[in-house]
Amino acid sequence: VLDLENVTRPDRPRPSWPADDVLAGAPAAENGAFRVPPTS
Amino acid sequence: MSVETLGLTAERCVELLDAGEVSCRELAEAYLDRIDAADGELNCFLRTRREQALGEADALDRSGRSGLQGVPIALKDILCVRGEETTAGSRILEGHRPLFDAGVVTRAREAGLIPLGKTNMDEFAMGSSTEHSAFGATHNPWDRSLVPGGSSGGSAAAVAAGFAPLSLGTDTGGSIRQPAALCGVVGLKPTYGAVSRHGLIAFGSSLDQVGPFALTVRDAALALRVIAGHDSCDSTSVPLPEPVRIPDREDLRGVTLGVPADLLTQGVEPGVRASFDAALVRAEALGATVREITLPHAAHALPAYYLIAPAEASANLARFDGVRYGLRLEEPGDTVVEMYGRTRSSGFGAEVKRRIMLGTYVLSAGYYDAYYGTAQRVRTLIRRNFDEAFAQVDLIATPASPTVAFPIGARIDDPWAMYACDVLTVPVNLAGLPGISLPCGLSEGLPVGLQLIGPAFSENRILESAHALERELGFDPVPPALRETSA
Repeated sequence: VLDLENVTRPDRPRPSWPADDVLAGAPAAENGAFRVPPTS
Repeated sequence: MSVETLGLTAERCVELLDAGEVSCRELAEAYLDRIDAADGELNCFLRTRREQALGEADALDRSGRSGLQGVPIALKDILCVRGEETTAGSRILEGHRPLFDAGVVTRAREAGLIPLGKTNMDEFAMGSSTEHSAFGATHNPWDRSLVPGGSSGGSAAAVAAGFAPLSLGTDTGGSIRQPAALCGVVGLKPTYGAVSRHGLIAFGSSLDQVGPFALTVRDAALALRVIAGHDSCDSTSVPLPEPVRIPDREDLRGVTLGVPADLLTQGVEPGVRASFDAALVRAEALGATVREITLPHAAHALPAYYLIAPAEASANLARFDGVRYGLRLEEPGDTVVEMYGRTRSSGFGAEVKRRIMLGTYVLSAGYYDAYYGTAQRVRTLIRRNFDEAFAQVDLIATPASPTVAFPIGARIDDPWAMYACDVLTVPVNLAGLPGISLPCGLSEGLPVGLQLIGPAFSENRILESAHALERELGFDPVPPALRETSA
């Protein structure tokens, strides 16, 4: 309809940060997840 | 060879290294020893990285070096360094060790610069005196009873005190140029997008920009050459239209400087105005044409900035909630909402809380258009004012700060007085333009900064003119008190 070209590059899947590295900086973690108090 | 680091430029460091008069290790050790000996009185550094820095220096000594390799640099603690504590001057990030290097840190490493440590700053870059650091105020090397400016006060004071020949800071509303002015060093805020913000802990994302401090304009150009350019991790960064040149111009023939008279009525101290006027006379002697211009909406920049920047900060700082990194109290509460509240109440300082609340308010339904929307429209008008001005002049000149360094504690309880420190610098951030502060003289025995502002991506034009003026002015950036101590 419009004479426009998408200039964004294609998505390139790549590994995300290792979960252990990310959790290492968290104040509390458990079973591979951030640990927080209950929501209510 | 023993190295006197006070007043030692990055260019001279390179000469010493190239000539083999000093090794990378000896140079880094000289700076680290000076920090150890003298920073207790100034508090420029939150932490140094002696072991890592000397290891990096040894590696360069073994492999051979060239260019800037082996020149030390200090980093504002808002720039992430992989695996090394990065706090942004806040208790809420105490102990935080990032997973990656900031884009500018990567570039500094690639150039062989050796980071000596992380410098003190106002918490999350919110302040103009470095008194809002959670880790104590930094003192001005010209007079320890005075502030160094902020928020990059640690980086500015470190260069003035001979703790590093180069440092990096960030400038959201003047946080490079104002402390450079108050500490008598050169500070450059690049065009928005000229330098990667990846790994810079965000304050105001449409305003933040990383830039260098140095003792000379040429050194600032050397550092800018290292850090500038596109980074695929920051989609707002772009390739520079031309490489950064190391300036060598000796005159200002053909350069027209515009002086916005309407801005100079904004609380500029008489002594600052006198130094500024004297520098303009010297610029004319070098061949520049000086003419008066108007920036009619620049007087509204400060209120617009203090709506836009807190609005962006309130969104950016929402991530600090005690879940993924940083502080969480021993007793976080029974629910996650309680944990958020306790973490943030305990972890943030008063100024950060003030700006989060202000920003949240101006973004709230019913007030958004009245405050934030209006501020954005003012921002557009300011940008147009600059466009119109640069159709008439090559560069705009103002003082970088309306005052010289003021006493520690004098403004800490008066937010509006503290915000007024930025009156001459915030218009530049709102318009996304480059600006430099170079020392142009003394008032009351303290340094005065001259700000040169240019169109977007005119860093080379700014650097050339600033270098010519610097040569003419002949300012000695070594604080007299430190020279006496060092002698």
